[in-house]
Amino acid sequence: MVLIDALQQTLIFIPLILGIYLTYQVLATTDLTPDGTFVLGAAIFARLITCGVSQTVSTIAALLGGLLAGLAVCALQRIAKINSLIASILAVFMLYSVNFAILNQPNISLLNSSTLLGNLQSGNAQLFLLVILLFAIALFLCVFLLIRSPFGLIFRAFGVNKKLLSKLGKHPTFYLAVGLGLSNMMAALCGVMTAQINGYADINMGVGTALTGIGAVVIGCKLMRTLFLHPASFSLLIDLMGCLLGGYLYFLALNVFLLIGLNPIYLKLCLGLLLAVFLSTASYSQKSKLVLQDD
Amino acid sequence: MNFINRLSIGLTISLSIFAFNAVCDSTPQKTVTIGIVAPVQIPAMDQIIAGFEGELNHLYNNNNTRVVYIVQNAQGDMNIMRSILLQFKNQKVDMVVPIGTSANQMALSIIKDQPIVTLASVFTEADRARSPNKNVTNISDEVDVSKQLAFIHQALPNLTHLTLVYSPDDRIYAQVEQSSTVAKKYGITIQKLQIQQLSDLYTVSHRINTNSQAIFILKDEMVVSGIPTLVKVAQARHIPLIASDNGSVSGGAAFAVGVSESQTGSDGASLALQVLNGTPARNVPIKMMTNYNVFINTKAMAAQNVNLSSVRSAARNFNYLVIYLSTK
Repeated sequence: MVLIDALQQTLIFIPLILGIYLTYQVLATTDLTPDGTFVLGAAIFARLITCGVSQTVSTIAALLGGLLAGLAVCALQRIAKINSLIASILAVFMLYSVNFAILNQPNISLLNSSTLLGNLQSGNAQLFLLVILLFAIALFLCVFLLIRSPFGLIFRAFGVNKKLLSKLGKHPTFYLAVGLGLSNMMAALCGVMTAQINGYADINMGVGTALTGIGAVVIGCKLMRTLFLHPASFSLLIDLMGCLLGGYLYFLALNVFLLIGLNPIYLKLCLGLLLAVFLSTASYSQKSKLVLQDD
Repeated sequence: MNFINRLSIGLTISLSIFAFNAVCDSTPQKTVTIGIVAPVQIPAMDQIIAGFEGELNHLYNNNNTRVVYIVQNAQGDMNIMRSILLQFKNQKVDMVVPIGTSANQMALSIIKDQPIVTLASVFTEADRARSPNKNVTNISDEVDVSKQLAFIHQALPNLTHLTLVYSPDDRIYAQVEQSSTVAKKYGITIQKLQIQQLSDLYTVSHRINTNSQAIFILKDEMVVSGIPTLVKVAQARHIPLIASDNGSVSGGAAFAVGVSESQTGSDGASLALQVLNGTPARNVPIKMMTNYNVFINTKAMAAQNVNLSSVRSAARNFNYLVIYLSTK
């Protein structure tokens, strides 16, 4: 059951993790805005649904909210000329007020509202898992096809060599705006899903979300690249599998530590140590492979 | 006698002793497992849990049953809380006890087949009637602001300007809205100061109006965490810091009108007992705590220029129990 619980939690976080992959790995920019846009998505969805708006419209509005927030961060970076990390911290800071204004109270309960994922979770656990699994696969495919497309190639070029983009006559700001917009839209989508599954939207529900996502992406991708690729080479499939693995490892370790009765005070310390062991082991295994090849 | 014979005799004797013990022990103990989930690690949570466990152990006098508590703390992390609740669900614990509103909301979404007894959550009979999962009961520790202000008005009759410091906590928010309306009845003007994070408290404490005659805080986890900051301001200005929980009074507030945390746990235990005795949680009435206490810190009162006899006299008039605490 622990394996399935961890898988379920990973699948709920897949939109956020893939969104962070787009900014952190593909565009090579650090964006912590998902801490705020995750709540923004949940807040817009919860507020609209409790006002009697349909689920589809509420979800679309939440996605648009995330997109706009991403575009605003891009404007802070490009127009206001603020460093990417500082811009995202500022955005999270401001989004707190925006989210509060949207929620109009610190917490909105969705237990009395009918939501797709909430109903599935209550009704049939297997069907619920299947639906979120299929949704994650679909999202996976979308990101895969986007990055494999000619547009995605230029997108990747932004992260590797921005000057080349300008020389090719492409506008880097446009690609940054698309990346940040998409990433934050996916964080908002993750917020919508979480609000439906947990039964509430709360002003503090986003704390540490971006760091969890970045951790999953960095650790998963590093682990997969070290195990299956030469560190300098790139495989989109390996990277995307890495995102899934990173998220899964995080939630699996979390569940196992709780199951063996570890005091939650030490959870993050133990999670960090465990992941460090994983990464270190992977690095040594890569080195030994290279030594064997040299011999 | 060869080795095989000796072994056979030894085994026969051992099995006989085992069988004898098994027959004598005709009343094997049953185990009832209760999963408690606290959202954060603060003294108030510990007191609620201690009150719950102590009272339930006392009330549940069933010799054949042993109650086992699994206490887990989510450390303020939504993912950890979800994992804890999923494990309670999979372990098929006999009862899930979430503490606080968000833990209750998540438990109602995840736990379907086990009874839920919630402690200290904003969840009324009307909420239960609307909720798709009705297998829940709750002990609400919300303190009625109108009763608190009535007491404050009587204890400090000359009070006309009061500063209310609060955080964006769900249950606090509704009380803050209510306080302005109620205060008008007593001729009190309320200055409302909100903090969004604990680090804001220092700055906000310096924005308290110069004509403010008292600082008032609700049962607000974030503000209570920073109580020393407000105690310093209260002492520097010689105005009382009035709280709503016993922990704050131990932390240096002059006095508080409210319910004790351990009482919240004890009252929750009486609901849990009904569930353990076979009443479905959906049929156990949701309870509001009404036994208010006045917690007094005499040393802090002197430092904050508060008349002890006036507060005691008000407590007598309202028929509230007075409990004396000292600064920890």
